[in-house]
Amino acid sequence: MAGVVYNHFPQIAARLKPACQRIVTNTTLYTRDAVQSGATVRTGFMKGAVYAVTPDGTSTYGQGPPPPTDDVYLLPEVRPANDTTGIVGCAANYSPFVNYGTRYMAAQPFWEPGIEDGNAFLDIECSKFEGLLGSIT
Amino acid sequence: MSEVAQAFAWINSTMRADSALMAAATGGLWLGLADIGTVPPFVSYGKQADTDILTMNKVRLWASLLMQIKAVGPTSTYAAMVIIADRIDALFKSVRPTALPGGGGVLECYRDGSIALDDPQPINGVQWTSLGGLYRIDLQGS
Repeated sequence: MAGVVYNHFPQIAARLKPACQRIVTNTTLYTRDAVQSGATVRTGFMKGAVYAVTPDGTSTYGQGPPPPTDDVYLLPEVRPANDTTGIVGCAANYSPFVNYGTRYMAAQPFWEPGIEDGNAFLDIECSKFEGLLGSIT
Repeated sequence: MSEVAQAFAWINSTMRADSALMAAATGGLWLGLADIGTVPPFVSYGKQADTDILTMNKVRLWASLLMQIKAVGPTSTYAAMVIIADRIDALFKSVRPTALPGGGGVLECYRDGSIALDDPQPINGVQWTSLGGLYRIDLQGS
């Protein structure tokens, strides 16, 4: 008696990474937009300085408006440590003071609300994982 | 009732019941900004972010609130600010289900991250700073 043995693991393994990269890329860009949409605007520099770096290395760092005054600047860009990681960052040097507040300025949070939206979006994206692997015959 | 308002009331009453915290926080407790002239250090708290936890049918189960609770003052009062931050953490770092007056309750509370942030510029030549944390409060409203 003999049976047919199927081994599709090589095909599945080959599709895992692209699927993960797609999910991370979509989530990174969505989170960047979510953080950006909540950022307060006076000159637009801080909002424009919210950036995303996707797993393929594509970055939106430094694409916003230039610093409006001499005492504000962009913090260095953070790059992903590997090709399945995405980065969202606020490069304006004064972002924490706006987000967390100071003695004379109430907090105007935009970072945590955006990250929470991104977390929820990641759950939705992960539900597409099986579909991204596709059918294997 | 607003879960955020209930959370603010719970944070306030929990801190007011702590004598060590209230002794160190000479300026008292403030929701958001303290009045000009408040004697530092003081405690400032406020909502940082929130997410509603829903059923599949979009019925709200509870609100997951991220609250900022911190000591604020000039760096010369840093020793007292450390006491305040320690007391805040002791009060909110691990809270198990607690009923609230008027109905509803806190399901859990824990620290999500710490805050230690100097103000960007001195105020009247004095450097100010803040020390505390972000606390996640899962609260079921009344």
